[in-house]
Amino acid sequence: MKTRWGRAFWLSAGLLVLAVGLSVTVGAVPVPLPVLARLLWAGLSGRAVPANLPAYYHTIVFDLRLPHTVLMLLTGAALGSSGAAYQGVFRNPLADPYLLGIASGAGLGAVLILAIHRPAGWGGALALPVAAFVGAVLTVALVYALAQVEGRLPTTTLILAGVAIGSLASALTSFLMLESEGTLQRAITYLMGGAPLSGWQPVLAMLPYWLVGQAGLLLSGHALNVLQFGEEQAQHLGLNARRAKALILAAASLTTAVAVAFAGIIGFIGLVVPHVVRLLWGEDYRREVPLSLLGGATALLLADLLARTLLAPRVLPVGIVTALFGAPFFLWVLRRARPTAT
Amino acid sequence: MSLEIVHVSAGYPSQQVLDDVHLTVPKGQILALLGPNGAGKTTLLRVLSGTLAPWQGQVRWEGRDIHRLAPKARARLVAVVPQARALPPAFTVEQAVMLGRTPYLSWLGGAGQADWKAVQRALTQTDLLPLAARPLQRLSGGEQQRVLLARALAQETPLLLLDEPTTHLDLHHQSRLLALVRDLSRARGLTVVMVVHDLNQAARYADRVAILDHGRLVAAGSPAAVLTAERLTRVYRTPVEVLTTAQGWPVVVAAAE
Repeated sequence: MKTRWGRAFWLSAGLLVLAVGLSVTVGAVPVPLPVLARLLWAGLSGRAVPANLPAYYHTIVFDLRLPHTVLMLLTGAALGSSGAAYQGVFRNPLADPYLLGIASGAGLGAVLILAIHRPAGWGGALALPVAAFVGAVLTVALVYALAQVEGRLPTTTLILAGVAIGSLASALTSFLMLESEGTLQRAITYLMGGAPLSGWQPVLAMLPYWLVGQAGLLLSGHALNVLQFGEEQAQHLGLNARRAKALILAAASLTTAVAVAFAGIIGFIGLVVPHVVRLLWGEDYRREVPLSLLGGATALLLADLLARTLLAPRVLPVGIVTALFGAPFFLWVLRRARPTAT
Repeated sequence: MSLEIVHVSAGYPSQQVLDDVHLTVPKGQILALLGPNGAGKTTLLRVLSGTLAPWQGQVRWEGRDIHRLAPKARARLVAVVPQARALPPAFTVEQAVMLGRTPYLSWLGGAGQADWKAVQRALTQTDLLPLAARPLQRLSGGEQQRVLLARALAQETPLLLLDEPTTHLDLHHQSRLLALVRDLSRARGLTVVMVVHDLNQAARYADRVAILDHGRLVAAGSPAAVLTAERLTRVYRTPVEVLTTAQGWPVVVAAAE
């Protein structure tokens, strides 16, 4: 049993390293692996860049590719682990930050703060995820309340409530965009899954929230396992089910919110990755959350790679690529889940 | 040492269900809760499990009010075997039974030597050891019910509650499960309260039976004393006859109307 999980971790981590390597080296200007290795070695050991390398490599790797890659990595990891947590809390394989409208709610929160006060500098960058978090939590609470039928959460009402609230949030976001002047429009196009922000600032602004959210999710594995038997049985087993659910939803919403605040609304990673993890390695949330974290990062890096290379030099919004692969997967899961989804 | 149900009235916001139920179960005995549909059996079980707080009265174990305990402390005292419905399909038997150790584990759920021992013991006692690695979706209804019993045993509580554990089982599995509960009660000194539909099974496997009707306690005592034709005809609003087997157990049959 232990070795099986060990294999799963090493395989996931290995794939992630591979995806990071591809993400940094592939692009308009390819960075050969030996060059990357020498640059990283120089950067890590604090030495000067070898003189025989063209200077632009340094700029490309450290100022463009690496921050973008790390941003995608953190975002994908956030979507993967929070997707696993949402699926666990709602006991529904179709729960996903995008389909439940939580990402759209977070997007609305972020756009509202942008409309009120365009964030400049660090203060703005750190306020953005807080606004997105508020939007995400309100959406979760609303969807949860609306989807309940006689104390249960049927798949159909859950997804319908999520889609309805998500559409409402998207409409409000679009309205704000139309009403705003051009500067705001440009500032918020990324929220629609468009070109993400660049440079190290978004990565560093994201990191503290990301760490708190992920720590919360990684600690929730056992509670999520207990919750799979329903709230009443969880209480019989000594878990304060309501408090546990609220804490896990808060952590998942924070994690989703930081992803949306800095990389825009990207669908289906949170749906597909936990599913594949469960199919491959079985159901145990103590493993599923960390494996979904790693898998989500890998999946988004690969999707981003496609988005950058398919129509190069044009860059597609990465949300289009994830939807292209994710939507058929969603339909497949929907058909599979039908017999038990009452 | 006993389970005391002290003048309990309870219900839901819109409706009172239990009205002044007063009952004591001596330690190590099996009590079967009987009564027609809607009599309040399941509600009483929910009050005993700590899930539903009574409006009035108390539930005491060894003098302690179980509703004043923290969830974890209560889960070390009372274990519940619910009906096996909508179980997470991909969990293995061992994983599910290990969740019974939750009241002894940290938030992270790391299991120690004692926890594995308790799980092994529960699996052995319920004959599930050969199925330990099998996912729940590949078990029969009877096996799934035994998994929930094993999970409750892994909780190592002195008090065990069962909510219609035999409803979805065929005759053979019904008798097997109830015989298992009886043997475990004897072996571990467990005090058991179970809601049972079948009067004859109650008579056969319980030390004491209690009949509820309209949320009130009608009678409580030994099966032979409580299960009388006159009383059952009144409570179930159906004429019944009570026969006696060669071993002396009462057998209830519906009489012609």
